[in-house]
Amino acid sequence: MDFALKLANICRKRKKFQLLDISAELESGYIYAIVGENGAGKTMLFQTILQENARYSGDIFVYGQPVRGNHDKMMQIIGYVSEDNIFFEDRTGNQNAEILGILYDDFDKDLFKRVMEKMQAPADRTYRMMSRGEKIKFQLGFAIAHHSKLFLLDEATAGMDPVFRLEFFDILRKLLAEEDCCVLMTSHNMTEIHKQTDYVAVMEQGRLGAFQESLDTIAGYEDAAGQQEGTDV
Amino acid sequence: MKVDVKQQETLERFFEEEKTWFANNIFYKYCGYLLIGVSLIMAVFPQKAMEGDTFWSCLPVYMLYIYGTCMLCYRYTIYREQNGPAKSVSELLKYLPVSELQYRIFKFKKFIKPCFFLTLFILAAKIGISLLAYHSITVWDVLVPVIFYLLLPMILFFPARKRVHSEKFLRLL
Repeated sequence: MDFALKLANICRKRKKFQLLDISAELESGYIYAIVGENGAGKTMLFQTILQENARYSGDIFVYGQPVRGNHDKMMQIIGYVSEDNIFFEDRTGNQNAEILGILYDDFDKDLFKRVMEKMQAPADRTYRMMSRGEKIKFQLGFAIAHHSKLFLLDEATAGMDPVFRLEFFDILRKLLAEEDCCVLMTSHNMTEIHKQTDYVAVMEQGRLGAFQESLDTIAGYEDAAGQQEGTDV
Repeated sequence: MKVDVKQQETLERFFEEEKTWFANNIFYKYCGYLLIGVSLIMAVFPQKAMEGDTFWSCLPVYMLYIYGTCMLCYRYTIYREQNGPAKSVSELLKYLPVSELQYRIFKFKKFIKPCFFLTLFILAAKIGISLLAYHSITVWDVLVPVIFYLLLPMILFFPARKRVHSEKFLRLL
């Protein structure tokens, strides 16, 4: 069985920080979360997976296919949702989907419109004028429309209201039920992770711990951090 | 260096779909033609007319040609929306299913095509004018256009070399 994402001894050094021997195997059908303080290396790990010219040792596989040397094919099935993602600011959501969808083999414009309607996201508003939550919804809709099998969500729900968070995870759960896909997200919100994700790993100073079921990990992490349960960041 | 035909076609459709990325597209397009035009005026002079120092003083004019053709290709490398600074297309394509190498090959083909046809034009004009004026041609009448107008640009912009517009350059646009 091919894992949705397999990281094999990933090491990457950039300036004064490095990722150290990161290994993980993620199965499809689950929501995985990585928690850690700022500067732990969560975004750097995502960038390592996503960037074509990232220099690292080790191997990354997405559904059995190596990412290295295969970037264009891998990005067909990887959906990235993040504040750092770049779109045309002065184009509407629909226009962005129309133009950028050309680059995908399997971009479904009708599916994009349906998903945007379901999420009540304003696809006819320019990207610049969208709120943060609307941009996240647009990016998720875009990722769903090109039939992503691996969703990488980098702090997608940071600063969002509770209603949005519930809607967001509802959409993810439906997606996991209907499609053969996997979600890997990063978050600081312990309550959200406790309730909404299946597995979580802790990242500290470039090292990633093993993925464990959310309930067990949260208890241990909170004890170690000396934080109270349910703290929102 | 393998050319992915499918991806080249996809990039062609992609850039064709949006033709007005660069707000100053018209300016840079005409500016590019102007620079190329000035360079061509000097380029068609027979080499016999430019012996000695004149030849070397004309060299910067030849370089205007390279800059002019670069400007024609800006629509494939830079985009600027109405309310924002110039940005590199490479940044836009970073998280999209586009191979960096195929994108560089695409840019190179767009750049080298006008160079090729201009070289042919210069060769024909230079040889024609040289025959009319001096009833003879020199080997430099053939070599100079090929070296400066075709080979040098090919070497400078060969797709194996990664060239990224710097932030300072983008701010100038």
